[in-house]
Formats: sequence, structure tokens, C-alpha cells
Amino acid sequence: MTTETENLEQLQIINLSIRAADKWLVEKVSLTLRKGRISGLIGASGCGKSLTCQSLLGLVPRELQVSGELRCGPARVALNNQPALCRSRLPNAGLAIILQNPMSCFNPVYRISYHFRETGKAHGYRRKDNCPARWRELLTDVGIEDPQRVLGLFPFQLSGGMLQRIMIALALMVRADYLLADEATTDLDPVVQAQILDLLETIAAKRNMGVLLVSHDLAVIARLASELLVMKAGRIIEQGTTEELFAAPAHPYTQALLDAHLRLYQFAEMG
Amino acid sequence: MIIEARQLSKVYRRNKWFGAAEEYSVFSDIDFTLAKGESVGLVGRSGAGKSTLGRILLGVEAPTAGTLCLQGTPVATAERFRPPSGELRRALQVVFQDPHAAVNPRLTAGEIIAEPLRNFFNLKGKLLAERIAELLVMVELDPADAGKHPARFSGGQLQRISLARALAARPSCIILDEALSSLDMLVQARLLDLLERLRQEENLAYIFISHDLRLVRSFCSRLVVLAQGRLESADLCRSTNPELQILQTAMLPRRPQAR
Repeated sequence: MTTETENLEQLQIINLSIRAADKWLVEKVSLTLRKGRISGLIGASGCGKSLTCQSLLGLVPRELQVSGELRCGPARVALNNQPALCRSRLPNAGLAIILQNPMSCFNPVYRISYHFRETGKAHGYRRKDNCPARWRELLTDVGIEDPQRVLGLFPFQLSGGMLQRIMIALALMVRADYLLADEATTDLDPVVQAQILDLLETIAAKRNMGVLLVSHDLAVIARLASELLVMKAGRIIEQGTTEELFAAPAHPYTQALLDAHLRLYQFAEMG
Repeated sequence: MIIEARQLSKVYRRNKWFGAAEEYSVFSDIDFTLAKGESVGLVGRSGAGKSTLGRILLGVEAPTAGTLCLQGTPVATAERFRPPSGELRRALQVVFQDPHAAVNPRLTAGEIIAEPLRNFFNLKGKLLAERIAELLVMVELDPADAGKHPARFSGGQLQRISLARALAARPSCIILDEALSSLDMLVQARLLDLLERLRQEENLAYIFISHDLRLVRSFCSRLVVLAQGRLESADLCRSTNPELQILQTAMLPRRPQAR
């Protein structure tokens, strides 16, 4: 029985493969997300990081073939390219995703309140769970000071950092158990980036949410993730706790990555 | 001197249907010079006006007041603004922040890079193809990519195509507007090496617009900070500039902290 409950606290992705007509884009990737833990995923651009995230939500383009399995406790589902809502695949593992460019995630002709209402409706929430009072509460939770005013604004009136906070609020609204942060702080200025990373850390701890932090910047991973997966050309080539990998990277690619990262800091910390 | 700017100011006006126009001053009284072979970091929070200043120094946008000389040629004076042409166009190149907006989606990568080669050097046929391949290899892309359209590249790859296009003109100065920010760390490190080599060999100068202190400190020889409409020079490493200290505090750790 204990193993069963333990299993409910984690989401396993088993043998995820994504294939285009002529080549493997992602090959036999297996990883485990745990509630309340932040896992980092690092790799070069085009190595399949984003596809991996998208495949968990069934958002991979139609022309690609997806295979693999999601497991949470006793429940299992096959991965495919049919879009699925947060909780419809696995009842104990609702997923939400936040992306690099939050501006493109919102419909520019509708106010922020509309996005909350639409998301709630799509998930079948009743009126009392999908009302401005609830939305204001969520916005306060992600550190927005005047939620009433923000709800009435259009996406283009808000900064990238604010929109990213709203994306996280939407993920909280659908009570996602796991959040996929796909380069979520890459385009933000360092001060805002630090704030969003702090927010992700707080939320992971407070709401017992598992986070997959995808980035190409080892500093972001070092700040937040407790375990790290290194991806290259569609495969996971190395994984371990972040401290282990920083102390003793085994794969030459990880070593090169770490060298490039540390070289940046040669002069950076003198200030 | 490649760039000599005196007392530059920029005010954006928004005309309204009724009532007085709204004015928004981005910066005022900015002095800036750039010598050959220098690499200057231009740092500031987002919205500080870094990119606007970059465009003005390039001569593609008119300052509201002040004078600008590019390689000794007056571009903006108190009386008039004449955008640079011909030789000046070639000498000053830019890599813009948004790589998708910086390339024509209907041209292939090869055609994008061919444009400056045709315009400035009259290259044709085999010589042109060779130079394109050479530039693509320089920015770590596959010469076979020359036939692909921008939609098939990632943001980082497009940024490198823009850089190849800038290098194709054999400029004396490149303005890099967050040009390396969306690249993965290995490519970023190798491109920094490439730019540094070009600086030493061909005396290329850079204005490196960024908000990443790590990059600026490992690459630039001089640092200027744009904040609250003022440009101040700051010491690369030990600075008391409040804006720099905010960025310093926000800097992410080098190694994982104990959890």
C-alpha cells in the first residue's frame, strides 16, 4: 500500500520517442517528476527539450509520431499527439505548461479576466469556482499587488514578467500537479527572472507541485533544480542530483557545458 | 573614431485625436564615443532605452536633438538628419534582438547572407556561394542549411544567420542587441571567441547591448549603463552604480546552493 501512495506522488514518463519521417527527434527518454521537487532539463537548442514537454500534453505537431507511456500510481496512459486537458489523462497528475514568450500565449484582443474565465470553463468549473474573487486570490498568490486592475487589462498592456506570473496563476487555477516551465524565464531581464524563479520555488514548496525546469542556462538550473537531466540529440545522456553533476560531470558534453558556464563567471563575481 | 555622439536626446511623441500630444522622453544629453577595436557593453533594465540608443547610434533612427558623426561623417546635426548610405551602411552593422523579425521569411538563409555580399562586393556565382558557405561555417551552421527558409530554423540559429549577414559586409563596427542571449552556452562561448578573434585581427568594434552582466564582463573592455534617461560609464567590475548593483544582486549563482 505504501508503494502505491508513493507512486501517486510521482509522474513517470517511460520510453518517450518522437519520430519525424526520416529521423528520431526524441529517443527513448524516461524521466520521473516528483511532487514538490524541481527537476532541471538542459540541452542545446533543437535537442528535443521542448518536444518532450509538448508531448506530455499531446501538443506535438500531427505529422510526428509519438510513442511512450505516462505512469502515475496504478494508472497508465499511452502518449500520442491528441491534445489533452490538464487532468483528463491521469487524475492524480494534472499538467500545465508555461512557455518562453508569454506574450504569444494570450489572445491580444481579450482582457486578462477573459483568459481566466475561458480556462475555467474549459476545465468544467462551476460558477463559484470560476469567479473574479477566485481569480483575484490566484493573482495575489503569484505576487500581483493589484489584481482587480490587472484583470481588466489587455495582454499588451502588461510586461513579460507580469504575463508569466499570470500564466503561473492559470496553472494554479487548474490545480496542476506538475508544471512544465519551458525556457520560462529566458526572455526576461535578470531582475524579473530572479523574481519568477523565486516564485516557482515558493509555489513548488507551498503547493507541493512538481516542476520540470527546461533551460539552456546552467545558472537557472543551479538556482532552482535539485536534480538535473542533460539532453543531447534527443537522448538523455546524463542525470543525477544537481550538486553531483556540478561537482563531477561524467559525459564530455556535460563537462563542456559546465566549462562554458563557469567561464562566464570568471569575471562576473568580482563586483 | 567610429561613432561620436554629443548631447543626444530622444523624445517619443504620441499624437492624440484630441488635446495635446503626449511626450515621452527616453533619454537626454547622451555623449558616447566608440573607437576602433573597442568592445563596449551597454547595460540597463528592460525598457531603459538601450535598443533605441542602439538604433540612433546606427543612424537608422533620428535623434530628437544632438549631433552624431559616424566615421567622421556628420549624420545628425542641429539642422538636419541624413541617414547613412553607401560606405557607412557597410561599415556599421547590427544584429537585432528579435531574430524572427530581422530576416525576410521568403528568402532562404543563403539569400539573406548573399544580400550584403552582392550589394557591397558585387560577388557572383561560385565566389558568392563559397563566401556564403564560409560565413555559415563561421557561425557554426551547416553550409547545407543555405537552402532552408527562416521558418525551419530555431531562434538561436536565426540569430547566427543575422550575425553571418552582419559579418558578410566586413564592417568596422557591429551593434549586438542581445544577439547572443537565446543561444545555448556552448555555441555562445564559441561565438564570443569568434568575435574576440575578429576584434583582435580586424580591429572590429562592438557595442554589446545586454542585461546579462556575466556576458558583458567576460567580453567587454568598457561598460556604460543606461538608467533613468542618463548614460553613465561604470567600472566593469567594482562599481557603485545603483543600477549595476541591482543587476548584480539578481545575478544567478554559479553553483547549486545546498538544499
